[in-house]
This record gives sequence, C-alpha cells and structure tokens, in this order.
Amino acid sequence: MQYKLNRQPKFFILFFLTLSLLLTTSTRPVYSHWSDLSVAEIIVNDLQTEVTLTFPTGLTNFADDNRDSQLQPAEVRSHQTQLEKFFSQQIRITNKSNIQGTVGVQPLEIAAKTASSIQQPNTHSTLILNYTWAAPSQNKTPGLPEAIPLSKNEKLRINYNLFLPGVVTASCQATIVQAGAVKSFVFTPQNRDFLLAGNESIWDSGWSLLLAVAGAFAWGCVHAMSPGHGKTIVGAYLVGSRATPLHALFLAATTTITHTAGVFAVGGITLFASNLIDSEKLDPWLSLISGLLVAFIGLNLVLGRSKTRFVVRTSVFKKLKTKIFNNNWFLRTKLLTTNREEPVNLLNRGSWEREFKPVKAEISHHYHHHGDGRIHSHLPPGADGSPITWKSLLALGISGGLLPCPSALVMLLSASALGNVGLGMTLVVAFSLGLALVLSAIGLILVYAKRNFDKLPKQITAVKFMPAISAMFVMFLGLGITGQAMFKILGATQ
Amino acid sequence: MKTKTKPEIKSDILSWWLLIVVPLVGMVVVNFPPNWRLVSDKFSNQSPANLDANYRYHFSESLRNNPNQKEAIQQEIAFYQQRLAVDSRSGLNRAALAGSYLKMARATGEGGWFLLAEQAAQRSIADLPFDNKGALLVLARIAEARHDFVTALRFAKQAGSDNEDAIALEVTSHLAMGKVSEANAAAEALVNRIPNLGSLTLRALVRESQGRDAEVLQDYRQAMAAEEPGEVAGSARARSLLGRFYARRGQFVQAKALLKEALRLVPRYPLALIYLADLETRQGNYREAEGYYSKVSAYSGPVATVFDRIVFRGMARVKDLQGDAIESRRLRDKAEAGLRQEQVSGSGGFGHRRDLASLLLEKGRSQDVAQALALMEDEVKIRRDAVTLDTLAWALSAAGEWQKADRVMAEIRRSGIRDAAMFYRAGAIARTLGKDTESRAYFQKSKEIDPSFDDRARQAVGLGSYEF
Repeated sequence: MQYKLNRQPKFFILFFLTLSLLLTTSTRPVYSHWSDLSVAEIIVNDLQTEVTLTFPTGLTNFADDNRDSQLQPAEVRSHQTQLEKFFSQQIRITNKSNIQGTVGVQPLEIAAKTASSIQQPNTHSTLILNYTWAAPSQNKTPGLPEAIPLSKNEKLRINYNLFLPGVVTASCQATIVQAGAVKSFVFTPQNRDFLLAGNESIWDSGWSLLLAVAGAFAWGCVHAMSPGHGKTIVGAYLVGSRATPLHALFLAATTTITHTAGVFAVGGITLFASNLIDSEKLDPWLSLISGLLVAFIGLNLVLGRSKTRFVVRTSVFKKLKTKIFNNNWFLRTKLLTTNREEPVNLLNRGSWEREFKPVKAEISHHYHHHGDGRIHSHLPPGADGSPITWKSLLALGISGGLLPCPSALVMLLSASALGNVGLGMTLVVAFSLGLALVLSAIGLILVYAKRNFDKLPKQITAVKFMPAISAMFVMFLGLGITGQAMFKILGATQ
Repeated sequence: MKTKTKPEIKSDILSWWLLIVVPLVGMVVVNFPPNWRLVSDKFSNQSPANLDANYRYHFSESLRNNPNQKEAIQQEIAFYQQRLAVDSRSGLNRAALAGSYLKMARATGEGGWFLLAEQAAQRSIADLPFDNKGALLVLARIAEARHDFVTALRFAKQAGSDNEDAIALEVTSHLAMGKVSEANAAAEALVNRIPNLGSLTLRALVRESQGRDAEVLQDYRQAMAAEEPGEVAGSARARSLLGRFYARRGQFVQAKALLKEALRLVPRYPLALIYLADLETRQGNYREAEGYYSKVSAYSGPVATVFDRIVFRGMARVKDLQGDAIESRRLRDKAEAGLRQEQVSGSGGFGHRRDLASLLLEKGRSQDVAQALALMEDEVKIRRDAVTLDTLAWALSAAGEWQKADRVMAEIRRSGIRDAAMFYRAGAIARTLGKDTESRAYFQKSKEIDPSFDDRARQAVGLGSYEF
C-alpha cells in the first residue's frame, strides 16, 4: 500500500509533464489580415537582386502627397531618396561577406494611357527595389559596371522588417527565384530572416558545419559515458580476462563501426526512397515516420530507464513472454518464482535494461538451458578463463554495436526531417568517432587499472536521473517532429 | 526474485496505460480533432441516395485521379513561375500567373493570393500594355471582389465585349449591383455564345433573382448535362448554388443531397460547407451545423479568409438558438472585429459594409442601429440588389423608419425575387404600418415559397414573430 502511494505522485508528475509538452506539438494559429499583408517577388540576377514589393501604403505615408493611399510614380520619384533610405533600413539583403546591398527604388512604370485606364482605389502600392553590391574602390575599372556580380551560388541573407508597428499578425508572402529555382517564404514579425543558399552544399556551410561536427563529436563522447554500447561487455571482458590494450581498442572499434554501419543502413534506405519518390511529397512523410520512430524510441528509453528509478517490475510481461515462447512454462514459472538472483544479460541488446552487476569468477550458475537441452551462458568470451580469439572479439563487438542507438538515430532522422540526409550521415560519423574515442579510453583505462576495479564506478546521485531525463527529451523531440510533419502533410493535402 | 502480488500487477498495468496510452491520446486530442473529418470525407465516394438522378456527377472515375484543387493550382503556379524564371519580362506568362494566383485566392479565400494576383497583373501590364486581356480580367475580378463593381465593369469592357470571361464578369457585376435586366442580357448572350456549365449556372442565378423558379431548375439541369470531366470546381459550385435554391424553398432533402454531392466532388468546398451548416441550423441539428462550420475554419488554417466572418456569424446564430448568449456574443464580436478591420483599410479592402451592417443589426443593440443604417445608406449608392435592399429595410425598421422601409420592400418586390424571409419582412413592416391585408398576403406568400419557414428560420435571419 505504501509502495503504491509512493509511486502514484511520480506517475502523475510524469503524466502532466508529458501532456503539457504535448501541447508544443499543437501550434497556436495566428490570424493575419488583408490590411497587414504584403507580397514580394524576389529575383536574384547576376548583378542585382530585384524585389517587386506590394505593401500597405500606410507604411510610407510620408511619400503619399495626395493621400490617395497609393504611391503614384511622380510621388515615388519626388521622394526617392527618402524611400531608399527607408527601405534600406526595413529590408536588408546582405551577401556572404555580410555587406548590405544598396537599394534603388523605382515605381512600377506603366504607360500613362494604360495607367489611367487601370487606375482603381487601393490601399497597397507596388514598388521595385533593386539591390546591388558596390565593387571595392581599388577594383573599379573605368567603363565597367561598378556593381560586383553575384554568383549562382551566392548566399544572400534577407532581413525583412517592413511590418505595421504593433501588428503581430502582419506578414509578407515572398516568392524567391534564384538560378531557375523557385522558393516561397512567409516573413512575419517572429520570422524575419531568410537565407538564400543557392546550390546548397554542406561544404559551404563553413563555421556552422564545423560547429555541428564538433557538437556531434562531443555528443558522441558524452553519450558513450551513459549506459549502453557494450561498456559492460567491454568492462566485464577486460576486467575478467587476460586482455591487452590492442584487444580493448579492437573491441571498441568494432562496436563503433558496427553501430555506424547500422545507422548508415537506415540512412541509405531513406536516400534510396527519396530518389524514387518526389522529395516534396516524401519529406513530410519521412518527417512523420522519423518523428514517430524517435518518439517510440524515446518512450522505450523512458520506460526502460524509469524501471531503475520507479522500480516497475515486468513480471506480467515476462510471464506472457515465457508462456508464448516456452512450452514448459509451468516449470519455468516455478523456477522463476524461486528466490534467486537473475543472471546478467550482457548480450541482450533487445532490452535497454542495464544492471550494473559485477561479473564474478564463480560463474557455474550462469550456465543454463532454455528447455532445449543446450547448456550455455550469456557471459562474454574469455570471462570464464577460456582463450580469447579475434573471431570472438569481433562477434562481441558486432553484437554490442548492432542495434543503432537512439541518439544517433535521432540525429540522422532529424537531418532527414530537415531534408539533408547527407549532413546527417556526416554528423553520425563524427558522433561515432566521439563514441569510439571514449569506448577506447574506457577500455584502455580498465586494462591498465583493472586491478583497482572490481566493479564499475558508482554513479553520483544527480547523474542517476540523467538517463531518464535524456530519454524523455528524445521522446518529446520525436513528438514535436511528428506534430510538425502532420501539419505539413495536412497543409499539403488542402 | 520476489513474486508480485495482485495489486502490484494491477498497478503495473495502470502504469503502462498512463505512460503509453495517455500521452498518445493526449497528442491525438490536442492535434487531430478537426482533421478526423478528413478521414470520413475520403471514404464518402458514393452519391447520396436521395439525390435526383439529373444532379448526379457522372464522372466519378475521373475524381480518383484528380489531384485536389489546391494542389492542381499550385502546380499551375509553379509552372508559370518556372517560365518566368527563364524570361521575367514575358507579359503573357505573367498574366497567366496572375490568373493562377486568382484561382488560388478564390479557392482559399486568402487575401495574400489576391494581392499576388494584383501585383502580377499590374506587372504584366507594365511589360505588355497592349492587348493584355488576361491581366485586365484579373484586375477586373479583383475589383469585383472588392465590391468595386464600376471598376470591374470598366476593366471588362476594356478586355472586349466578345470575350467570354468579360461577359461573365458583366453578369456577376450587374447582378451584384441589382441591375437584373442588364445581367440577364449578358447571361443570354453568354449562353448563346457558349452553353456550358459555367454560362448556364450564371443564367440560372440571374433567373433566380427574377423569381423564375421553373426556368432556374431547367438551367441547372442543362448545366449538369453539359458538364465535362475535369471542371470539378465548377460542378461543385453549381450543385452548391442549386442546393441553396432548394433550401430556400424548404426542400431540405434534395438540398442536403446536392450539397453532399458537391462535397464529394470537392471535399473542402467552403461554399457547400457553409450552406450545409446553414441548412442544419434551420433543421435544428446544431451539433452538425457547428461541425460543418468548424470544418471551414479547420481547412483554412491560421490565415484569415473571407469565410471567417460567415463562420463566426453562423456559429453565433447556432449558439443563440441553443440559448448560449455569452458565446454567441463572443463570436459576433470576433466577426465584427474582422469586418471593422476591413472598413479601416478603406475601399481597398474587401468592403463588406453590408455584412457589417447586418451583423450590427443582428446584435440587437440600439447603439449599433445608427451605424448600421449609415453603412447601408453608403452601400446602396453602389449596389441595389435584393439582399442589400433587404438589409437596408431591416436597418430602417430597426431605426423606426417604417415608411422608408416599406418603400424599399416595394422595390424588392418589383424585381420579382422569391424569398420567404424578404416577404416575411415585408409582412412585418406592413403590419406595423397597419396594412393588415397586405401583411397577410405577404405572410401567405412567404409560406408558399418556403412552407418550413418557422420561428427558428426567422430567428436565424433576425426576424421576430409578426404573424397574426
């Protein structure tokens, strides 16, 4: 009864936390209105970027001399300097060298006769803004244009601030044309920046790519220190056998390579599928699948890691499993109900449980059979003193790394959700290198200091909660990706 | 290993449920409620059972391969944008792009697409100032959407009197202005030129405004006989308008079947959803009515559309009928806020003066009557169609100007329109003025047109009970 009362508050806290964070998947709609709207067509040419902008005339009241709520060509010309200064502050386009383009303002020139015939009451005005980048003074050649040309792969950043003051629902629907490709974007007060990447390539990302790789490497290192990835196997083996540093390195490398290959396999399937199917249609579905997988993986982790914190037993589950898989389940039940310690399942990668139990030399009771008469043990090779072979090490390493871990999958699937599987795989490599480094380090430490270790180090109190918290984070991330993907799919089918 | 006791096993099962099922259910409850209806929509592939055979859509096979309306228009937009990426000065391509933007604007009701269409049309004219009918017609349609009918007709005339789209525009603009005979002449010319689904539907609308009910049905039947696969939006529109026609005459079964058929063709067709919601309100099926109104909002997403105010008003009426005055007031305030924003933006916005006026009258507050009357007096300067005049009569009645209201109703009667609500209002005004015989005749006429025009229907259009 006491036990029940202790658990209930924890479950309710978990429940409410989960529900409240689920609300993050439901975006709150923002209602924009006609009078707050602007539209822009942005064309990136060789020498300039041309923006055809239709906006509420009220934003440039200073130029509307006759107060007809429209900027006539004559008014634009008479206030040209003011308008250029105004737009250079409100709409900034910078090139990759972070140099802001100089803006020139022109009215939409329509032949006078035609203009008078299409004149109608309006609240919006249309202007053409031309952004150019001046060549440095020492490079100027007489007779040649002063503006420097923009390459096809020019990365331009657009910072849009032309919104009605205090109107959070204002927006600008922009169509961007660069190198034959057409993109759409909606600028809002909450979302003012857009990067025109041209032919996007991860190798052009510069510092941001370096940072991402370094981050993935560091994450791999940190992740390697959390439960999983065969550290128990490595530890148990290295402590309990005549292992050398080379064995430790080999084991760590095999685990890491297998793990990376597993993650790449998932990524390869994704890339292959993306070639067969229109990526615009595929991406939201990939995001959805990614999100669901990540959420499911996170949930599994939460359950598994919660067991060690909330002491949830799965005897019902085991009973069912035993009944299904073992004909002599009555005998098995009887065996299970006897009061004895469970054997350590070091090679059972199907479960995320990790019990940090020492592997002792007295291992005769670890030999058993599953009702089929085959006597065997789940202990690592060499733990019982038998000779170590490279083959057994390889098998051990492969088994330790076979199932891709959630963190690397999250990274790869998140990159897929963003449409950049190649970048995701690069980050996975960096992650795996970090992982390999730490596994190797642990192995080497154990080899050189095994005498001083008869059990794995205890975790400090605060770190005990880290696995469950990080698992919860993975689950929420998955839910967020799923929610966003659902909106994209529903929006695409409207 | 310790064995578990029964209570502990039960609490394990409970913890599994809490940890797995509740978050999943929470995610579903938060994210999916408006979208479950999409699933049911996809499964409704058969025509409604009680639909008249003449009104069935006979090209169901083509529906399966049809991309949804927005997707098809987006493909069109992408096509023209690609062409313009190659040659940005092509006036014809830009005019075509403007036309695609306009289609998207009419499909979604979103203001941003109207702006894009206008910008593209103006640029097209800048690049190709002569013989650019496509761009002129886009500007004409945008002017019409702004209720600037005079400008719309001017652009239509510039596009040329032999252009079918221009003639169609003349029909709709004249009809909106209340110039029924001019609209009729244009409609006849259009049908003679090209008797297709669109032209016959337009003529049916004109005939409906003249009270020629039998000819209206004939036109709709001919229109559906002339329809072709691929013009799904037009087929859905025709059925929605015919459904509204039947609903106004109390023939709810056929009306509902037609509107459901329209939704089968275009599952999220806003017009059909709104008419269906109104119909369910008339029949007292409030939950269904709210469901249909919610669908309109859900499908339009977070962007303001021209349907928002209709949805809020419709839901406000439902709440009124359910007796929830607080919620009803909140919804009307929301609708009013949207309409007032358009008024602030001046004549360049979608000047829905009439809608704001009728909303203020619906609210029933004496302080709003003067403003409603002022709005309607401005509105009738640009249009004198039956619905606008009826709203003016309502405002005049609310302001106590019964004689003026009576004269306005006389003008409506001269147009020949057959509308139960308008005749009822005429009867109410006549009764207030002491014209009992006339009043009885109007009430009788109202009952003839729509036998089901009951208290609920009267409440829905802001009429009290005036019968003898």
